[in-house]
Amino acid sequence: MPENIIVAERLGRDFTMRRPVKPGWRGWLAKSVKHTVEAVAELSFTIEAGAKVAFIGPNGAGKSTTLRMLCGLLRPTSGMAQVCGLVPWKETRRLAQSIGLVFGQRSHLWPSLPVRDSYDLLAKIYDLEPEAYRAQRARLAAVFGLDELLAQPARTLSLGQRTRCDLGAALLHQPPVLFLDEPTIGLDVVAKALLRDHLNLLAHEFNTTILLTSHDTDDIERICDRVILIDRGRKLLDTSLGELQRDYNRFKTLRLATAGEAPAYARGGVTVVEQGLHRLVLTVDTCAVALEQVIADCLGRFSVQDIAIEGMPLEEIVKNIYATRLEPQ
Amino acid sequence: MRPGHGIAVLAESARLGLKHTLGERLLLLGSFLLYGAVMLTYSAVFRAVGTSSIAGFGLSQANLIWYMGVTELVLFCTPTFQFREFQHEIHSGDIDLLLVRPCPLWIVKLGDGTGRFWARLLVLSVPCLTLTGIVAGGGFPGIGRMAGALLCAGLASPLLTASLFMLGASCLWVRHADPIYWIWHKCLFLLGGLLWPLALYPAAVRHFAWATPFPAMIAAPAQWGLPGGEWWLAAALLHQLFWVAAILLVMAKAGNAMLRTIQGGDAA
Repeated sequence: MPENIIVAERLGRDFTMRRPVKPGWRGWLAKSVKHTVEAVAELSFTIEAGAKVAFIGPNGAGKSTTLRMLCGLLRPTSGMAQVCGLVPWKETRRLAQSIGLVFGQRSHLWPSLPVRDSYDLLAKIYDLEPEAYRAQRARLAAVFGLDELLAQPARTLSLGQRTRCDLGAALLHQPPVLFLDEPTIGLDVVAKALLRDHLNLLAHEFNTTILLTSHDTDDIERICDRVILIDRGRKLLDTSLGELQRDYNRFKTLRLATAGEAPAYARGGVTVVEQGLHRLVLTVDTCAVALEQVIADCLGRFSVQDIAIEGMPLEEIVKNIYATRLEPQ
Repeated sequence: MRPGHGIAVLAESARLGLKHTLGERLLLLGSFLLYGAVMLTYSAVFRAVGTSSIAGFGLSQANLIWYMGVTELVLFCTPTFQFREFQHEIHSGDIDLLLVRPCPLWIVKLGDGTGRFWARLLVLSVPCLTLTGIVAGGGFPGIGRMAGALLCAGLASPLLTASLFMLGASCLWVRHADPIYWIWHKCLFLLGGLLWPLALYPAAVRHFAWATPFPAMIAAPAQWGLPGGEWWLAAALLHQLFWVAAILLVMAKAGNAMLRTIQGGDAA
């Protein structure tokens, strides 16, 4: 059985914030009052070596806070965590040798130096053997296509190029764990796809454990095999990506192109997602109504020119989970 | 962390700082031109000051020009913008990546700052001191003394770099480091003896100044440009060595305090 490389037990983190005082006599004494915000609460999970886990949730769900605690940048207010057998916030520098960090829009590179110089300095910082460093740099350059970028100062690189170089910088010391916080933020479609391919190649080649937070569900679908969903600092779901898609596969999207200008449809178990000129998009809950029935119904009512059936995209699945899980609150 | 590891990081960081600064040819040329303008202006001011008032201290106008030649050289070699770069790294959040590394950040910054300082010193010292000799029109302290001044200027570089590191780091607690930098700069000007040797200061201010690290940054190297006994130079060197050790210790503590502040989520 593979060992757990990341363990979090009842992890919690509160932040003390300041709120402005309402106008009045109290405002003369104090401009703001303190209040506590619970960013993460009672969060427990384990991640085994080599796993590729996505941490997803809406803004303010506590994803980045959790990631910061796991890499030693934030001390929790309660609970414990271990990464590679070390307590991150107590043994930050020792842990640094075993983890790689890629935070979207932040850089490991010195802007005015050529990327190669930044790598040279990082090799010294991580105390790498010169031979091992050169071999790893060559390997990363091949994987990420960095050969032409190494001689350029980091400030002259495009965002996509810089992200690739940053990923290389984070992996120079061959860390067994890689934390990625919104790695594709700000990248165009092509650069995103390239980066995802690179990450997959990397995970395959180095058996790196990946913990990824992203708002982009495509990142998750292409890179990860497990999903932890959190909201308001609490875990909602922890399951494999396959299971998640299977459990929510009951929802099918039906796209219809019709001869009629304004197709309209209403039936129990069917939600109209989009209704336009010669166009109708429906979500069918196959547990409530058979898909075949809906299709037959549509074929009977409209003159259908084209029809497409799709599984529900991950983004919709996630939205659905939030809607159903958070309903009682 | 092994001491050898720290030294290797320091050396590599200094090498890159040196290489980077040597590539900034326009900046170096601009620094020399500005140095020339300052020296020409102040040498004229010093000549306008009566000789009798400074003769009592055993100094001539040429001595004052040589003194200022060295203080200004130290100042022009100091990469003062480094504190703003560091402040930007903190505000932009890049600091998160810089702190989670096996080697403390202060070692990297110390190497970088000293490398940049030494690169400027390497390029600027000969033309700047030659220019000083021309505007002073005499009173050359001798090759040995000038070598001593440059060595002490080099020794001042960790002091200045550490100060700039701590000034930049202060924005973690006060949000903007600029007001603190302004105070530090004025102290360097006044207590460091930028324009006049500390010997000319009122006794109380002079004693107070020597109790601070500022003379070790500027006055101690420039002292080699003045006539005076060797014992005085040795005392200034000891003062400098003491403050280098003390400030590096404080710098290391500040580096640890930064990590603790960020971990506590208490940054301003």
